[in-house]
Amino acid sequence: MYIQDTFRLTLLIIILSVVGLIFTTLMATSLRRIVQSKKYKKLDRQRRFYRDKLRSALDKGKVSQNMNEFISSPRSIKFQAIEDVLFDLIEERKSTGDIKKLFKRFGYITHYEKKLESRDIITRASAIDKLGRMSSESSADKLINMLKSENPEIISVTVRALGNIGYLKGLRSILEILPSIYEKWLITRRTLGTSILKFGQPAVPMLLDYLKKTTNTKIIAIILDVLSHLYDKNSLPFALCYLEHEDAEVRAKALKVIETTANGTEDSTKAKIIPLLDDPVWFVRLQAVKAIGSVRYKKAVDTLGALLFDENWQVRNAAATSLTKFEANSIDIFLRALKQKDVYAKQSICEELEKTNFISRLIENLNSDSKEIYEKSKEILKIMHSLNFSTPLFEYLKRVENGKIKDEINFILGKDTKA
Amino acid sequence: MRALLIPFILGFNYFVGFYFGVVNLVYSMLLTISLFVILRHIRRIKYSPIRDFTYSPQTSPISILIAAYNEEDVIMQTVTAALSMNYPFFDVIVINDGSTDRTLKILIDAFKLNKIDVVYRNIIKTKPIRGFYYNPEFPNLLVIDKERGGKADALNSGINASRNPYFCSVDADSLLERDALIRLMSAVLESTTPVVACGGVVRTLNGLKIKDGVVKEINLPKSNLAILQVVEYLRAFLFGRVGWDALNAVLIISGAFSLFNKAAVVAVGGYKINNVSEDMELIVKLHKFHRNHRRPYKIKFISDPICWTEVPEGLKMLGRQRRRWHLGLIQSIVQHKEIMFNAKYGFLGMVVFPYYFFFEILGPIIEISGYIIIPLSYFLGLLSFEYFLLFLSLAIFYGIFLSIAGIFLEELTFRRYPRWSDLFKLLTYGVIENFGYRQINSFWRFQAIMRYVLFRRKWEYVKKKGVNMKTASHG
Repeated sequence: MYIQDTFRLTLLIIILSVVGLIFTTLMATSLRRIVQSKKYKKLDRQRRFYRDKLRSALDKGKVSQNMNEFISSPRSIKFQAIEDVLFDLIEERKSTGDIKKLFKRFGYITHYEKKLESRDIITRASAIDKLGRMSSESSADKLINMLKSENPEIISVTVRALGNIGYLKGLRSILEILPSIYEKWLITRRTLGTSILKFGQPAVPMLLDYLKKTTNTKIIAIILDVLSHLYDKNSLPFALCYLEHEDAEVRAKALKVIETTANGTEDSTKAKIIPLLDDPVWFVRLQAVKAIGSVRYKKAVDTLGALLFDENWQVRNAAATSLTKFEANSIDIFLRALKQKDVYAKQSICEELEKTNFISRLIENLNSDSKEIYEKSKEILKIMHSLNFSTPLFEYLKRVENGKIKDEINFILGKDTKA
Repeated sequence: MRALLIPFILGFNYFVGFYFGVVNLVYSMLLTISLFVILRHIRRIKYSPIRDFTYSPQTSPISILIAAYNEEDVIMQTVTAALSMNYPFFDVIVINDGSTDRTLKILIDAFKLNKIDVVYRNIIKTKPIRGFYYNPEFPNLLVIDKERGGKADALNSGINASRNPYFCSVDADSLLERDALIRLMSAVLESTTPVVACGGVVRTLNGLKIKDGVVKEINLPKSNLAILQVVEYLRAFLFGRVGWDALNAVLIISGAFSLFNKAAVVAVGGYKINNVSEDMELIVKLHKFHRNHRRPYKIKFISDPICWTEVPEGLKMLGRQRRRWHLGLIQSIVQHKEIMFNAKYGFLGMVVFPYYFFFEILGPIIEISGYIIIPLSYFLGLLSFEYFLLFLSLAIFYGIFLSIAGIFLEELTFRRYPRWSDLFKLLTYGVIENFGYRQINSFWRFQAIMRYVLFRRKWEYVKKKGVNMKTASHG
């Protein structure tokens, strides 16, 4: 009897606790909704109000005269509203220097710098991020100190914030600890690359200087990758030095830099890419093919043609794509390649000819005054048809644009023997 | 007879009590974990690198795969939404899986696509391809027209055609929010352990106002059944999957919206075509493959990328969907039964698989049996009316608590339903769903078990109305 009573009582207590939890959750949901609704309504109102005020004050250059109107306690909704408005104004205006200065004058920088001392990692990381978004150069030294943190999240956000500020001293500090950021703190290469890129072109001399000193291949690859996106011609001589590096990734990234910086340079520079077309590592060959296509080095067309038969399909496709950039110069190469036996390679070529729309040019060439171009184009189209790459020909026939071309296509397709 | 029946019924009653206790303990644990994880995640979102990744050349390219079978009402909106993603490098591959309606024609006309020839490597074997459609003016759109082979087969052909290292599968009746892809990918980019699969939140599209593939206004659906599913989805995604993710034990990622590392998927042979729930089976295979080869990996669930999907508004279609899901779950677990209680698979083998087998798969049998045996116990005088009521109350109140907790998590985090009336409705339906909706769901799941046992394991096609998309695209 006693056990039964205890069991009944236990069950009742559990049920009542669950009912209590239901009501607590209901209350919490409703209360949160009330509080948040009020807060956001007020915030929206204040944002609208201060957006107009700030816009007008900035346009008239009268922000300094009305400073008191914009300064508020960090705990107030006004503080948050003005901060949001300033960030919005940065997005919508071309000249943002004046707006960024306002963050300091309105007390935001001081407020977030204080938060850098917080024990809570999320609070600290948020403050670092905010200071970065505010491009607060004066906080850069404090942020650099954050790089000494033992927390990977803090380091990751700090690297990004320093990138946003674009303060080169910050970049120097990042570079100093780059190997440990990458290896010890396991911050991903993509996060690092994205952050360093934010320093923009002014960072190039420092990055190049760093390249001279470092021997860590992973870091060299990261830096070269960043340089390939900064399009600075000063990177080219450095990239050329790494073409013979023992690490395949470094060679590939060096080629990536060349791809984006060597256009318009002398042929002797472009010629340095050619040996890498025979690199034993497929992704180095791939990058070399892309680089040749990008710098349009005509003397490499034949070598590029040989890569249409590379063992790796990505290299073959890239070679075909690069060759289409040489237009008429590549017709002979394509023709020669399409006469070879390797069906896979020939299919890759045909696909690229269709996807890049080079096939339209070939079809138009069927009406060319130049007998040589006409015959070569026709032969390519015939081979493509034999490989079942003739859909564009059938599609052209449906459109019936040019009688002569139509006859030629019918001939290629074996429908008509007139041509 | 009675002498035999009584010990059985008594034993069953004790078993149900124990079973119920363990299930609710697991739920409570998941809920607690989710609460902490979500609160932390929401605070961290404020400084997430999503904006940087959106414009970074370092962001990995991705293919969005959309398998479409007779989706003429929705396909344009889905493709338009996919093409307007905030993501630096991506392509959209639509696989027309032998549609008998105008799905393909609509795409050809809208994007002025030309039929071209593409080198198609049948790495994962699929049904024959009928053609490829492409327009250099939309270089990131490729349409594959193939013979009907089912969703898994269609996705496999999309994987074969994709040239990117990652792909994201999206249902043709679903709509991605513009930042959904980059939010999903940032989890991959930031992780130092390779993420082989990653899923986001799926929510109900019914009731939304959509224009040009973008959600313009969020409303609750008008259909009662759809609102019940809103509550159900909130609960499943916001505390179920978040909780499992924190334990690195995600076993289900919705096929409506999931991102995969292509090489990993190819290594396990792609989607299995004979499985009615190909998405779950793929996840199980990925777990198994990586653990067998001792490769570090993660399968993640992220709570802020959102995909809106249309849910069935009729009982018939909903029943089909739920039977299919449960049948797929059974198939996936049974096909990989060697994982169960196998220490080699760690937490997955010792906890996750047994949980799914004993509580998710067998749950409906216990529940349905309970509906018969517990009243029988009462009529046989084995259970006092008082205890009967107490247990029933506990079951119902706990169910209500879980539903309301899901809504509370939504309120804490995303607040996608800003109207008071919507919140009130959701809370009301959170209570209502425990009276009838849950039971009918259990019945459908029970039916799925019976079908599995009786070898009637076919894919049940669920026809959606496409109401929102249709209205928006023509209106």
